[in-house]
Amino acid sequence: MKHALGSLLVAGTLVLTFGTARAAPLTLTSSALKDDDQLAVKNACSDKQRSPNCVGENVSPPLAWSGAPDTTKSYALIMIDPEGRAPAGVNHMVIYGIPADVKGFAEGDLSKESDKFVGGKSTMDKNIYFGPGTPPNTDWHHYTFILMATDLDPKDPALKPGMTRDELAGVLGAGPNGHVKASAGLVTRFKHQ
Amino acid sequence: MNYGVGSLLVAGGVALCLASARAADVFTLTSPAFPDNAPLEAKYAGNREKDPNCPGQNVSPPLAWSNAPDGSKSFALLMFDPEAQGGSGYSHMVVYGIPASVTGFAEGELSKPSEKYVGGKSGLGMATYAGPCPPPDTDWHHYTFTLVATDLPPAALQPGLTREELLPAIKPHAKGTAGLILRFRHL
Repeated sequence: MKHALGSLLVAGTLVLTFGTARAAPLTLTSSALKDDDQLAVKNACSDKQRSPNCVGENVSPPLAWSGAPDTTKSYALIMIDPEGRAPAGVNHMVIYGIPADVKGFAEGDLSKESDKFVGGKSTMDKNIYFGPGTPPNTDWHHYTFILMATDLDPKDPALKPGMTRDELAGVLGAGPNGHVKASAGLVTRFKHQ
Repeated sequence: MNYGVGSLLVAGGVALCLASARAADVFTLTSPAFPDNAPLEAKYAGNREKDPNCPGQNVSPPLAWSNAPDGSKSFALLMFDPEAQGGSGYSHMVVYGIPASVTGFAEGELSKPSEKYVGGKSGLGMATYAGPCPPPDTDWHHYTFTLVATDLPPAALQPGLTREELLPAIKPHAKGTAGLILRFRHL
């Protein structure tokens, strides 16, 4: 009887544990921004020689994540503007090879090269964050961050520096046989005020 | 002197009007039912039989747009889920050849074929709206509607183009883009 009760308790604990695990999917957040919040002017791009629409300081917003699958060995992170450069959008940032023990980036961490990520190649040919350079006379552009938890070692030779978003997608693959085990998004917005 | 002050006032008024016009007249995509980034109710989700991730009725949300760029002759409208397929994204809707006289779609209008648009081909092979069917145990997916104004006549493109086929075809003709995001997840 005691044994049976013990088994029930163990079974109950297991159910609770699984219940908790199911309730905590991979989630990408920012301590500075809620989902769909406006980026600050400082987060906009700063290269005025490249574009007069770069009115900011190219400071990357802080990001954090939780709930990655246990099999995660590295993360990839992109930032896309679906409304940029009609019709296909703009890839503002492509980075990957982020070790599994990294749980986020502080403000400005993505604005410079770092041991915490391998720089790919954005539409602007950069290997770091390139903030919004939204043209005037347009409505809000959405800057969508997509975090991918992968089973690739951060030093995997396939994760060579300088890959575009499409090249990265080719390496990571899609579907159950791909290297991405979970993905999560955070949307931010910017426009000229 | 009076005349001079009057001119100044008129000039000031014109400048103010121009300033407000500039802010108000941008190409904008909205939904009469939802603000940007609003969560969609279950009825807007997909309704594929035998797929437990599709608990809905595949009702397309109402959409409206205004202030298309000068010279627009047709619109293309895409819906894309950037979180899907391990971050590769998934194409939920590809429609185009929407005449410039059309300024929106009522609720459910994109769920069935219509003379108001040419159906392309979504990831599921559909020529209409295919609502969200995200996997369970994932956080919000952001269903990104992108409206592209083009100078192509509405009948310029053949039916059945995928997103990957459509984008290069309209690229030289794109006049501007407006976007709206709606969210869905299983609750």
